[in-house]
Amino acid sequence: MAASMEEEMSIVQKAGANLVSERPVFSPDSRYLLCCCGHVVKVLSVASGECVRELTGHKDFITGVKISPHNQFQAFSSSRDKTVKVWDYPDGKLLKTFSLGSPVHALYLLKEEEDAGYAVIRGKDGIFNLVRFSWANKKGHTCKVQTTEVLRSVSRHEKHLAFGPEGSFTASVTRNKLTVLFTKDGKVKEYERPRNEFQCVACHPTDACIATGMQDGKIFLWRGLLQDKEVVRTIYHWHTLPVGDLTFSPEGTHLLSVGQECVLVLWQYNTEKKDFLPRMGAPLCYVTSSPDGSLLAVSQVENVVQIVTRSNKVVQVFQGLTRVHIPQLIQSTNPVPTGLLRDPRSHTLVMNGRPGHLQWYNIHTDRHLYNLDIVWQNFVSSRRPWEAPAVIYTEIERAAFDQQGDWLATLERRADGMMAEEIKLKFWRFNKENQSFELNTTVDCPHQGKVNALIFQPHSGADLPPTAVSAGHDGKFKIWTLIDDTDIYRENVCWTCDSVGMYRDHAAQDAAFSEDGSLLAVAFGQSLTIWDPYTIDLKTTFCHTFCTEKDSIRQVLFGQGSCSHYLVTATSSHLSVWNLLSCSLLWTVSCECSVMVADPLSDHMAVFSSTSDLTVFKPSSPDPVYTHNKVVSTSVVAAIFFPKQDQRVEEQKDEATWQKQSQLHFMTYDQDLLTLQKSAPQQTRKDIVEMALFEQNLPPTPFSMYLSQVRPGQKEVSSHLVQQGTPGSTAVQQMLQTPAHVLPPVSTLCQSFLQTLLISKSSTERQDVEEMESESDVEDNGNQSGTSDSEMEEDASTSKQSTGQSEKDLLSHDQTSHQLDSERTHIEETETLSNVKTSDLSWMKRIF
Amino acid sequence: MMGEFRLHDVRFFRYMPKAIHSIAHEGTTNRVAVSRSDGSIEIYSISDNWFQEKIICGDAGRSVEAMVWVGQRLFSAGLHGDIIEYDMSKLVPKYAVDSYGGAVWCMAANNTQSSIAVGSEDGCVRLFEVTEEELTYSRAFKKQEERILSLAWHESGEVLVTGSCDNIRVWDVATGLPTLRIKVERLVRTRETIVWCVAILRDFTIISGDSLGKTRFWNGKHGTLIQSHHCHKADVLCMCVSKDETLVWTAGVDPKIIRFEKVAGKDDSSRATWVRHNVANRHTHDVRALVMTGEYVVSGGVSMNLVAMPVGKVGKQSRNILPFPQRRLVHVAQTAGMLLFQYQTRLELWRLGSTAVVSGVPDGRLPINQDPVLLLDLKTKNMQQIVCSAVGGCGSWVAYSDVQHVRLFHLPKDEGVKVKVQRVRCLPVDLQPAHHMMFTHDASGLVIATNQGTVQFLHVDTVHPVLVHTFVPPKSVTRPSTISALTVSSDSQWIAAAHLDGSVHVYNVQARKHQCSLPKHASPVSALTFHPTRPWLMAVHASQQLFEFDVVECQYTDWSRTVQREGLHPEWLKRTEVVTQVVYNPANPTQILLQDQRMFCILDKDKNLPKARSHFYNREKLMKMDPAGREGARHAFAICRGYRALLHLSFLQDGAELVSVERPIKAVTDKLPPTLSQKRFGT
Repeated sequence: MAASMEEEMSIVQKAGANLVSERPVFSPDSRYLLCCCGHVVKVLSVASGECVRELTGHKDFITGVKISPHNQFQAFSSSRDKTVKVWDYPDGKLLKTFSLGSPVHALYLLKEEEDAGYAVIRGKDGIFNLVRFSWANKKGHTCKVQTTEVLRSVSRHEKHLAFGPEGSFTASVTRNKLTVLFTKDGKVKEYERPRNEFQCVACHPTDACIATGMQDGKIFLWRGLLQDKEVVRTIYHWHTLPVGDLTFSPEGTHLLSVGQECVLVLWQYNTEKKDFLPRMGAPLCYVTSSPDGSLLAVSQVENVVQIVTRSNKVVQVFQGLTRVHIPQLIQSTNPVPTGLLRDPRSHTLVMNGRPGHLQWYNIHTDRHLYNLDIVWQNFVSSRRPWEAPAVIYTEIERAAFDQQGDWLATLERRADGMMAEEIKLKFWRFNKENQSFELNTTVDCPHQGKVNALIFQPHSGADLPPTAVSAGHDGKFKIWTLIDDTDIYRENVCWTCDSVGMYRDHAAQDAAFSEDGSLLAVAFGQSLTIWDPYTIDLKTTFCHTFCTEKDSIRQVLFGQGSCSHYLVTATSSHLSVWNLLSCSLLWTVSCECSVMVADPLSDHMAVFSSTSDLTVFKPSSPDPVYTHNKVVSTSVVAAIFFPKQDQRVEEQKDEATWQKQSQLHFMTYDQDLLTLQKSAPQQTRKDIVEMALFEQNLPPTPFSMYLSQVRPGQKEVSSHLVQQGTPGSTAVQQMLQTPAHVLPPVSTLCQSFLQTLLISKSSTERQDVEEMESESDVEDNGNQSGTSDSEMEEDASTSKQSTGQSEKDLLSHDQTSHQLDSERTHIEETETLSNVKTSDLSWMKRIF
Repeated sequence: MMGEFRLHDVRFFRYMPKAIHSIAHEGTTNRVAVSRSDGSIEIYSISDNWFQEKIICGDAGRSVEAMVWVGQRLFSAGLHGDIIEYDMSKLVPKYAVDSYGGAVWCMAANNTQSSIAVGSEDGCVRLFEVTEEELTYSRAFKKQEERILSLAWHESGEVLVTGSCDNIRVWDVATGLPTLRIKVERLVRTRETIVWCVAILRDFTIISGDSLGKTRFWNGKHGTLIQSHHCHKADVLCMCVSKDETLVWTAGVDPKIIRFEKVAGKDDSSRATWVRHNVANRHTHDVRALVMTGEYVVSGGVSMNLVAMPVGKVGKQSRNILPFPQRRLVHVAQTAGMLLFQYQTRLELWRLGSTAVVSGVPDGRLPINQDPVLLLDLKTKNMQQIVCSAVGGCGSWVAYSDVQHVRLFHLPKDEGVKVKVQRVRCLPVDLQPAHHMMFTHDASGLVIATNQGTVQFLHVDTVHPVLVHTFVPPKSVTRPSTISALTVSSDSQWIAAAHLDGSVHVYNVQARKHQCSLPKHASPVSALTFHPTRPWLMAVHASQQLFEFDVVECQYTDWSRTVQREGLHPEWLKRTEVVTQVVYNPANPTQILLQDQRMFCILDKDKNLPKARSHFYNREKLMKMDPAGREGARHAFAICRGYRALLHLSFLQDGAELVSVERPIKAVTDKLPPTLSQKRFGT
């Protein structure tokens, strides 16, 4: 395959960044939270929950962010691109760049040293060292700084190192050892725990006290370090699983610890009292306290950061793309077994989320919408390593949407190696009233063993019942159709197995429908069989005789658009294209293919090899459209061509031709959702839009704080509706202008005020009578009152919802569906009542 | 080979030890006095490998709640309202002084040991002056409402701190008036908080432990709370402070022993804080007493065993001392196959079971065709506690002694199961109460170690027993100390008595004179025995040393010299248990049986002694080795471990049968009251 490299495209992360890769940090006024998200630092508003600023400029993953202890408007960020950058984070301006010469893995700033910082870098011998770098006497925007080694062989994680009060000592933990380096005399003390592993370390802000979290769940408090006597070690043991992170409250009265138990534990310092915040939902990995101690940021491994007040109330949730964290999937080759799907109804990305859940993620707005519980099992935190057997979770292995998005099919499987496998195929129907999927049919054990494919048949004709195909490791593929299940009690439909097909006794590896749904291709071993989906007639068979014996077909895809008569198959060593019209092999190339996806809007296809090489091609020709070697260092586990949101506003002329209509997104083994983009990003959509938002998010008064929460909701309304003006606004104005002490009692004002509200209505009536005499009064009256009422409601509901959103918790399923619901009904209304609206405009003009 | 024995594994000795109530430490000779719930007091010598030197028998009407050492003098007080001083050589109360305030809850001596403060039921602290001869009442402090449950002296002797219900009071000793009253909070308004223990440090820091489970540190000058640690789940009953006052231990109803340590601040200006250090879980039940001895923290309570934890991190081993007396509670009538069990206030005589099977597999069980029979159950008069007892070899004589009298019983041979008991009434008047006693092998004489430190030989007769002679230690010894071990040779010619000062005197019965004394060894003798045929005396010391002495030649035997020359194996010397019994195998006198509470050992004099560098294999390890290497690794000590509480092991008449009496610890702990129920994770 000749490399026809048009131009170099860069790998960028547009949505679904990992918020919890590093410990977040609060701004000194506790209004913002700075999170490392891939290559950018996000400045999140604690009050509104919005991302107000993205600090872009690093060329590799950011490993830490810190607020300068001397200038509260400056933030330092370290990255693997060998630099430390200084930002003016409220304005998003890059102030300075320090080049350290090797990738920076952790960054620490001390209050005592104004022009120096500490960083963990990898030395030449591959050992991580703590170094000090100073920028005193360094002028200029970008400068190279010298590093001096402070402590050798430390761990590269930020939580494995801590500085004592006033920088008096440095505590570093590696595997089994705690090393304390005293700044004053350079003395080093080491404490070993041969049978236990250190997980994290924290230092008390005022006392000479080190807290370490251990593998077996114990927390050790080391004191008396400055004495010549034996160190005093106090054990606090509540956690059963390894301690995730530790931190002291800024005033030093509490020690906070988190772990995989999904519980935040608050230990009162030096007494035996402890307090809990249980049921956090997912294993916790980081905890940070705001500088004033009023708020805590708790990071969950699911890519959620929760803001908790000291009264144990969750006040804000920053939810990113939910990351799969259960051990059985992380340790497998593919942490996202469902792959990346697109919900045709909401145009969102759907994939595995929390354990036993599917998640809906809006890739354009970078917002998590909701999780749908598929398996209906509570999450149980994992057991201690020595307590066999480990907890086995039921995981969703396949999911598919039909063409309209009315039906969702999911397949869940639980195999613990002892009991028989539990496999369930579930069909979910979209309920328009609730705006959510509801379970329709559950099929127990649809196949013996693994199910390799689950797809819906695309419909060309509308009157056909929906059909789905599942292909299993037991050598069968089953066709499921919707039948009537109405009885005397209710009307219902349900899914049933219509027919079963098999070919010799090979395992069915994959199945695919042609674009119009008229052909079904099922891969059995080395043979590719083409079936008529309506009659289950075997039409033809293609045999991969050029492949070796064990080389069975892994994936089958039909071409799209102008290439719809081509069929692409991928084995572990070959990529072949068959022409369905001539029933012959068109071309084949030797290529190790692990992930293959087709663009639904064009005839392009993309293939990722197991070494993460990307090739984009058209089935019609073996010449690649685009190739990119080694997209990522790890493997690519899933990919999707996602249609672009706004086709009309296509001013991105510099986009590659094959990405004109849809963008290729792919997920790596580390669960980073990446995409390809031509040239470096100038300014992302966010930065332009959020400029104004940022102003709003700086609430100078309590009243304006209220405004900032309301306004987004109002905006949304105005985009759909014509602004109507407030009835009776003049009366209100009058009332507000009059000094309060000369106002008559409210009871007397009330009537006249209500009348002002009524006047507008009567005037519209008059207007209507004057202008449109053909329409009857009664009908118009009804219509009019109907619209105004509904609009008022609409207004209230949206504004209420947006305040609710900015104010608080999870973007729950209900809420989002409510939002969808309201939007949808809204659109419908605007359409049906458009004629009335035009008439409404006239009276409004007259008033103003 | 160790030889093949048929073993009677006896487990029907239902001896029930008693709970520990208080512990007191004596600094100059490093001894610990431990009182139990039956009023008995045990004296342990820490420097002699925790050898249990003395047992002062209790009395039904006497309770010991607090003990105080003044020099070598021991005072105790309890709920009966008397303060008692004990005669430490006779092991009996010397005199009692009324506390004038009812039940005594606590007692403490000041730093100069000139006066003792007693806190009693009526709410008064009373001072008693310690004089050469007696304890004299001095004065009473101002009365308070609540009973005084705990008190502590300040080092200066001018300030006293007491703990009672809801209150901690600081007293001026000179005026007898309270200078400060600290009120302790209540958890429930109607339930008073009891301050179970208090301590005051040199810098006037008061430490209190209360029924809420809180350990609190107070400023004793202003009465302000410095720190409060809620570490215990239930009442804190006792505490102790180290000499340098940087360490504090507390313990209580939840059987945890928690160590607090004073940690200096970052610099000199900042205040030192008390920090919880580590938690020890050594007891299953309430810990009632906690004492710091310098190198050990000694604790005891309802779980009955005495636990000594070393303070430093390295060096000393932690000790768990079983609640059974380190002396003979079981006596064997060798020819008759009978066992005499000595309980606190009664005696039981059992006939052993027997089997018809001749041989079985090693470590296997033989079927019993005749069950053991209880022949006699003898209760003492007025529930007097038994000091010692003995049974004749033929099983027809039984003797015991309480603190006042020796009593002798004759059991005439009868064919039936029923046993008739005849008390021999007309004992000689100058027969003194015994600490140890033993019948001669033909049961014609009874050898008694009296509480005066002398040995008396009584000719046993049903009608008219005659006191043959009283053997007094040689003149050089002015005041004979208490006898710790006694033995008589099988031909009844020699009597050996070991005293607590380490001396061993051998008396010739026929010549009625002192034969010789063994060279004095620093540590006391814990077990003594004579060779069955030769005039050799085997003495085992608390320091694990062994000596064999020829009493005729007045010199050590050749084997003993060899042992001393080569030295004992360090593993043997490192053992924590004291040998309580030593016996020669009557069938093969080259074998010596040594027994302590957790193991027994057969020492074969014909075999090579283990080299100091070589491995010291015990029997289990040897059995696991392959036969080729086994012979090379074999040595003179054949040790059999695995016993939890071995009370007795000895040969029967012919030397082919052994009797072991074991008291399973589980059977003892099952009888204890329920513990504080605590939630354990994962249950």
